[in-house]
Amino acid sequence: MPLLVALGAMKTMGHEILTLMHKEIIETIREFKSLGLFIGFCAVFFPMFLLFGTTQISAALIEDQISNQRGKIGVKGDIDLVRDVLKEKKELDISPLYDIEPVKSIEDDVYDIVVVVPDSKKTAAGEKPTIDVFYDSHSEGTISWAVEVAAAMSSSQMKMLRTKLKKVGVDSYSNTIPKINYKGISHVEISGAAPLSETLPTVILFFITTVAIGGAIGGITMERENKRLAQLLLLPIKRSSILYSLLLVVSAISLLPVLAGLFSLSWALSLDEIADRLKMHNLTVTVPPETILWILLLTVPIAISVTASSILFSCYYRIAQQARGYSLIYMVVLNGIVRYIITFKSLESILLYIPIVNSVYVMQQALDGKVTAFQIIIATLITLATSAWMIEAGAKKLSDEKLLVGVERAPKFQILGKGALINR
Amino acid sequence: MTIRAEGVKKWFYDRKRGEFPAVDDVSFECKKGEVFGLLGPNGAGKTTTLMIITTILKPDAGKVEVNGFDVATNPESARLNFGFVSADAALYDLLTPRETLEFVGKLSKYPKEKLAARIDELIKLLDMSSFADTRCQALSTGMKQRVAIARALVHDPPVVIMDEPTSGLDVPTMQSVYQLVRQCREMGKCVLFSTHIMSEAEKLCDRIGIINKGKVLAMGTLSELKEQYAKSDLEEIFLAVVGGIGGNENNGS
Repeated sequence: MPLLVALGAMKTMGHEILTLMHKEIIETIREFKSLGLFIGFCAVFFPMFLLFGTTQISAALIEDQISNQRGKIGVKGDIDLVRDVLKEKKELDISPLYDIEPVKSIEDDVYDIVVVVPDSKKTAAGEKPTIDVFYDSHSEGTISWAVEVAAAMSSSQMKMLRTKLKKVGVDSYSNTIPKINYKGISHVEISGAAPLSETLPTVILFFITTVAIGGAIGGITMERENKRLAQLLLLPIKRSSILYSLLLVVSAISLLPVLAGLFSLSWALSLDEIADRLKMHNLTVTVPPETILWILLLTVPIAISVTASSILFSCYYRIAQQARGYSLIYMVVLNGIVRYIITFKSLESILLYIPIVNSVYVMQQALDGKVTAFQIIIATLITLATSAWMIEAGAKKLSDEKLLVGVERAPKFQILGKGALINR
Repeated sequence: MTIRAEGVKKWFYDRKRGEFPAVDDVSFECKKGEVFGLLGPNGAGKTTTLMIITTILKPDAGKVEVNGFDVATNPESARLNFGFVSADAALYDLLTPRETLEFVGKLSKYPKEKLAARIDELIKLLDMSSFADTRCQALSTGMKQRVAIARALVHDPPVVIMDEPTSGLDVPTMQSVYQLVRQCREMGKCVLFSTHIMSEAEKLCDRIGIINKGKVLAMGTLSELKEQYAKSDLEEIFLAVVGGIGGNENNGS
């Protein structure tokens, strides 16, 4: 019997939510102008926004980048040769690589780039000398350093390099141009989208927050101000149904600009001009289909959690103008905190369990090609559970007499004449 | 009994006055097929009383029942049994009156198969055919108020609560509201009608409760009140009960 009662209650609530959603959707469609403008804005600026970020997805930007950071270069083989070739690159810190494997040294963050120069003794006669450049293309700075190192070795200083190789014994084929192999390490080879992982999730978070907070203030605070919320509360429906319907509609709407932006971005990456320039540097930024799927899937928990927190925020304001004013602080704090927390490597073990942050983190992992089904499930479940909690907390505030009709209640504590505090 | 209020109290607070009673021991009953008028000056506590009955506010003391359901302990069932009309129509600007009625009807659990016919009936009854499919943002104040009344009646509730429903309306629209109140009475509904306009109360109400400073000071039929206060019309009775200027310096209603 209790099960039947619970099922009946769920059915009723589902009916309420669908009816409320239908109304919200009609209103959104009829007032599509502002949302349409925002979708257009995202479609135009999404790729540009990424270009202005720290991640370099354009070969042109990689070419132009002058890094102020010192890149750590490990050299296996003739270090003097590499130092000589790269003597103009003052920002590079070149040191010998002893017994560590090149790949491991990069994975362990000992070096950003490892250059393996051929050993004269081991280069067989007739064999074309090969210089291997290992780099971690997850780090955007490293990609550009790798390109710079390669450029230095491959073009203008090729002649000098040949002379140097001749000096160290690789002299049988002095007319042969040494081949340079770029070897991206680990995850880079799994996902070509890794260079986007630093910026894309936070850009998505930013745009979702912008739409979600607008939708939440419009759906709660403005409705309260216009007394339509009081009318709605007179109906025999659950308070949480009102918020769940708003959550579903606003979350879906907040995804529209992001989807437009992502399609626009993928179109930009497929442009021949950009693709050719990337290829010139043996760099390819492609987003594999499975990564696209993960990104799209993970935008859903991000949208739901951010919308739920925006709804909870809106439930605390009676006047829309006041809510809009504070919403700027809310946006800066939310986006800032998420961005800040994600950069802490020491927090990596718990990032998966922090609501909102975890979805952004897992999206970052997906772009790096390191995501697992466990991470996605945990992040989604935690985010959805927290969202449900925020909606229930917001539902309690809907009937708040002070917020709804401005009824003030006597403060619990009152300061009397000489500062004495009395408990009422 | 369809509305029963018993010793209802509600306290408000402001820094200047501290805590004060917005509704102070209000008790009344409103029966089936009766129009009960709650008459009082601005700030007398009428709206606060209605807000308690309609479950928007919780009483600090006392008990209110709507069609047998306690508004404090069983608010959802109470809400199924009343329709509320206020001076502020508060309609969804982007919906049409028909869509508004459909929305409210569905949420009020009105039988799905009968809803379309009920909406058509109300559109005809309230003479809304010419604007039933026009967005509410384009309607006049009178039209909006008619939609608000239809919204309160769409689920055919046994209790209709009206808070100054003619405020800001022109004379023909006011007349149509009066006609509708009478129709509700004929249909056997219990109508609680709050107003500060004497003529309205005189024309419409079977019984009147005069409220001031949160207290019900007088209650009865018009003839009973005339007899009790030895006055010939309601305005004189009202002034005798409430007092002249300064009689309404109470609270926010």
